[in-house]
Amino acid sequence: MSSTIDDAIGRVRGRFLDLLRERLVVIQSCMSARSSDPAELEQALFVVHKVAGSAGTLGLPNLGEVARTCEEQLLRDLHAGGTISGMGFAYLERFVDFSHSVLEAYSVPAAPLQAVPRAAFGR
Amino acid sequence: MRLLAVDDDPIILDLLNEIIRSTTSYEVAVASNAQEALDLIDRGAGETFDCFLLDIQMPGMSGIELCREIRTRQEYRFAPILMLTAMAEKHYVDGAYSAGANDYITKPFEVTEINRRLTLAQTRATQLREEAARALQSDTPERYGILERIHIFDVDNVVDYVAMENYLPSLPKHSLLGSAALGIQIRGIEDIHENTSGFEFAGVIEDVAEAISDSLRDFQCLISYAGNGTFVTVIENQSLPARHVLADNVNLRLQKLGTHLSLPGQRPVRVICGDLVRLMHPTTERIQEALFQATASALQVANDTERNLEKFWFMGQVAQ
Repeated sequence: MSSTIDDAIGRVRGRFLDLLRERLVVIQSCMSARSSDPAELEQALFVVHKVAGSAGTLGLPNLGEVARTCEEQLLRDLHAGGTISGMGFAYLERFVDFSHSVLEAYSVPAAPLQAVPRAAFGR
Repeated sequence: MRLLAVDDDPIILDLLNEIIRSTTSYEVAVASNAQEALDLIDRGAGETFDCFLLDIQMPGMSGIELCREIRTRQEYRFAPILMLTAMAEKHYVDGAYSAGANDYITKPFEVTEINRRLTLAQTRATQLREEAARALQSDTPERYGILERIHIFDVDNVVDYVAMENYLPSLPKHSLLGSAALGIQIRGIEDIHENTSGFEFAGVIEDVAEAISDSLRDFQCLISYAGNGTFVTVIENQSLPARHVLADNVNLRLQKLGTHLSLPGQRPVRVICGDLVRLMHPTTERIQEALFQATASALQVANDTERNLEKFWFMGQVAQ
């Protein structure tokens, strides 16, 4: 791949990682609540769907794959009962851990856990 | 080329913008939802887009609905529409092509793949613009070439032949391998072509497309006109119709449409089906080969039938 494309991808990857940091706050908020609110599942699904769709192109195929398997589990949860199952939380935890390791590798400091307005991430 | 990319993920829009601007001379406009896209399209102030890249899953109107909406605008009937989506399931692929999409790329995508598909889209856009310009100069061409792939608009599940070739490799592998191609040939097409004006010939092709589409409306399928009076349809194996029943249904519908009334001597227009060709290999070359086999088989069956009829009349032999 030419350096022009590499540079272009590098620029977008930086913005993706910044956004990933914000998106992780949403996921962590869902996980800490462990509620049976269907909206929590939709929030989490939205995040992992977006990450699964773009991480691979940005040179982060493993993160994309972890997000994809998490999305598949959350879709099963959506069809089963509409709330995040125990297995769904396990997959989310794996996704969060993996994301943190990617952020660390690219030296983007993790944000402190805080609530993010839901409207900002609505589907 | 002016592109409009529509996606609710700002990262994908950024990525497309960066990749396309840094590797091509194309202009890129972006919209984060379908309504914003339609606003940009409708207040184009004389400047139209040459190509669209649409996500499917977006809040509000989906990318498939947006695609259908874009196709209703006269100036975008021929514009290439590429779907760029994470939704790989067959019903999304079918829905997108039925709505008028020309190509389907699944996320995550390779950067080189986007450029390759855009180059193909640009070539196709140029061809289609030239065809549209020729069509504007005269309402209907004096004559169509018999092999010409006449464009058919507004018939359910009927897509451009190039779109059909793109559709099949876009399917999930298990769906592709569970499908078959079937050629449907208009009998005596050379005779019909020889004895009709361009307008009448195009009318026959459109009527046959409508009759096939109506006859297959209960089946999950796409249909395309391959030229030379041959249609090709791709149907899921589980729901294959009996070929002679399908041909009878199409012929009955053509009779009801009164297609024959516009032809010299009111010669009846009838179709016949070829052999089913199972789609066994997901590579583009093998898919093109399977489509060719399906159309060639239909033509062969039609020619054999016409020859046997001649034997029946002139040599006292029995028609098959």
